[in-house]
Amino acid sequence: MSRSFRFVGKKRGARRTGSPMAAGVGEAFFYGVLVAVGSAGLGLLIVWELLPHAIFPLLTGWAFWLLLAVMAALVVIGAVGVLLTVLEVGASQERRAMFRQRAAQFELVGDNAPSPREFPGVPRDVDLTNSPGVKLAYRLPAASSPAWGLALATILGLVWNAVGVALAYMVINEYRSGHPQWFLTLFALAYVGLGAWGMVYFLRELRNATGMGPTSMEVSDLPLEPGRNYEICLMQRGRHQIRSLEVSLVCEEEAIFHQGTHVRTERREVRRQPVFCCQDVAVRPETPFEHRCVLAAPSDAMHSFQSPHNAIRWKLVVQGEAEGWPPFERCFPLLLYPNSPPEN
Amino acid sequence: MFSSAAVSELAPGELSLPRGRGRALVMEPLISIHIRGHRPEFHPGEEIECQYQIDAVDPADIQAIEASVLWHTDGKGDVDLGIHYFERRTPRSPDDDFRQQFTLKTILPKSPRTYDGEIVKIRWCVRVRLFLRRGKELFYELPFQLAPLRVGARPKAEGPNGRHDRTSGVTDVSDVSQAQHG
Repeated sequence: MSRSFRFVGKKRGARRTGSPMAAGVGEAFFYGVLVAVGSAGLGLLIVWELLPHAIFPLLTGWAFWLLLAVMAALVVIGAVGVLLTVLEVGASQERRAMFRQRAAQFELVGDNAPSPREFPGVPRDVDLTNSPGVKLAYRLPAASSPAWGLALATILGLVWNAVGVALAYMVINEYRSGHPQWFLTLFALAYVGLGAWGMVYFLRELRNATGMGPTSMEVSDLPLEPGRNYEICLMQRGRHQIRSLEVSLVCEEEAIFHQGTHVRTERREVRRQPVFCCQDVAVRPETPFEHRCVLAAPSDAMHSFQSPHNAIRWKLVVQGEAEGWPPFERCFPLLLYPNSPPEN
Repeated sequence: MFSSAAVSELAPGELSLPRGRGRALVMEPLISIHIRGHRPEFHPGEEIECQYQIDAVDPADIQAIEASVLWHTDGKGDVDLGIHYFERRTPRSPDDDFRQQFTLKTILPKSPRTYDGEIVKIRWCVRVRLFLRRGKELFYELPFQLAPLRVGARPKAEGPNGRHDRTSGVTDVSDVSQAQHG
C-alpha cells in the first residue's frame, strides 16, 4: 500500500522517487541559509568596526580580511545557488541544457570552449596541435605518462621507510636497554619487511617505466578527416633489441556512469586497424629506430566525440616487445573529424 | 482531462481514475509530431521541417509548449543532452489556442552523428514537451537519424560469438502517440 507522502526519496537509476519541487525548495533553503549567515557575518563585522574602539577593539591584520573573505564567499555562493535553483525550478531538461550551453558559449570563447562551434560534440584539437614535430607537422602527445604515479609511489615509499627506520631504532634501543617488547619487535619486522617488498616492486616498476627508451609519434596533419591519407613517423629511442613493434589505429568508447554512490568509468575498444608492424629491430642510442608510413583515416567511422559522461576516442597505439623487458604499450591520441556533407 | 463518457473498456490514450473515485476516465493529451519530407536519414547542413500539434486537451489547461531538436546519449554512461534548436511558446492571452499546428525549421549541424556503438549511442530526435496547469508535464519525441554510421563502419569484434546487430533505423518519420510523463 503506497503512502501519500514519502519522507525519504529513493534513487532508482537516474531517477528519484521524491518530489523535484520539494528538492528544489530544500536546495533553495540551503543556499538561502548560506546567504543569511554570510550577510549576518558581514553586518556584524561592519558594526564591530564602527563601534567605539575602546570597548570593541579594532580588528586588524589578516584575521579581519580572512573573516571578510569567508563571509563574502558565503554570500556569493548562496546567492548564485538560490538564483540557479529558482531558474531551474519548473524548467524542462531541454531548457536547462540550453541555458547551460548558452552559458558555456558565453563564458568559454576561443581555445577554452570544449568543442569548435561548427562541430558540436567534437573535442578541440588545441592540445594536439600545439607541439610542432621534427620530421612532420605535429608531434603527438603521449596519452599517459608514468611519471606522476612513480613520483607518488616514491613519496609514499620514502614516508613508509622513514617510519620503518624509526621503528627499527626504537626496537634496537629497547634491546640495548635489556627490555625488549616482543609485540613491537614483531610489528617492526613486519613493517620493515613490507617496506622492503614495496621498494623492490617500486624499483622494478621504475626500471620498466624508464628502461624502455622514449617513443614519439608525428603526423603530417591534424585533425584527421575520414577517407584521407596521412603520413606518420614513429621514432623509438634507447638501446634495445626489439622483437616486435606494432602500430594500430584504435577507436575506444568511454562511458561514465553512477552505480549507487560510486562513479564508474568503462572503456571499450570497438575498432582496431593495423597500421604498421615490424620484427627484429636493433635500436641504438646513436641510431634510433625511425619509420614512416601512411595512415589511412577510415572513411566509414564515427568521428571523435566528447560529452560530460560519454566519449568516442581515437588513438595510435604502439605495442612492442624487447629482449629482456616486459611488453610495453604507448598511446597517442588523435582527433577524427566528421566527414563533409555530400555536395548537392 | 476528465471525460464525461463512461465506457466499460478503456480506449487507447485513456487511463482510469484510481478506485473509489467513480467511473470517470482520464484522457491524456495527444502530442503529434510529423517530419516533412520522408527520408531514412538526414545529412548535416540539410533543413529539417517539423510540424507538431497538441490535441485532446482544454486550451485553458495549456501553460506552455516546448519544442526542441536535440541529440542525447543512450548507452551505458549517464545521459548527456545537446540542444540544437529550442523554442518555447506560452499563451499571451486567454484566447490563444495552442491546439493549432506549429512548424519548426532548422538546419542540421555537422555533428554529432547518429551512432550505435557498444556502450555509447547517440540519438537525434524532435521532442515536444507540454506543460499543463497544476505542474503536470508530458512529452513525446520522434527520432530521426543524422548521417548515421553505416554497416561498413561497424566496430571490429566480429568474432565467432558475434556481436549485437545494429538496431533498425527509424522507418516511420510521422507519428502520433500518447505522451510520456515528464
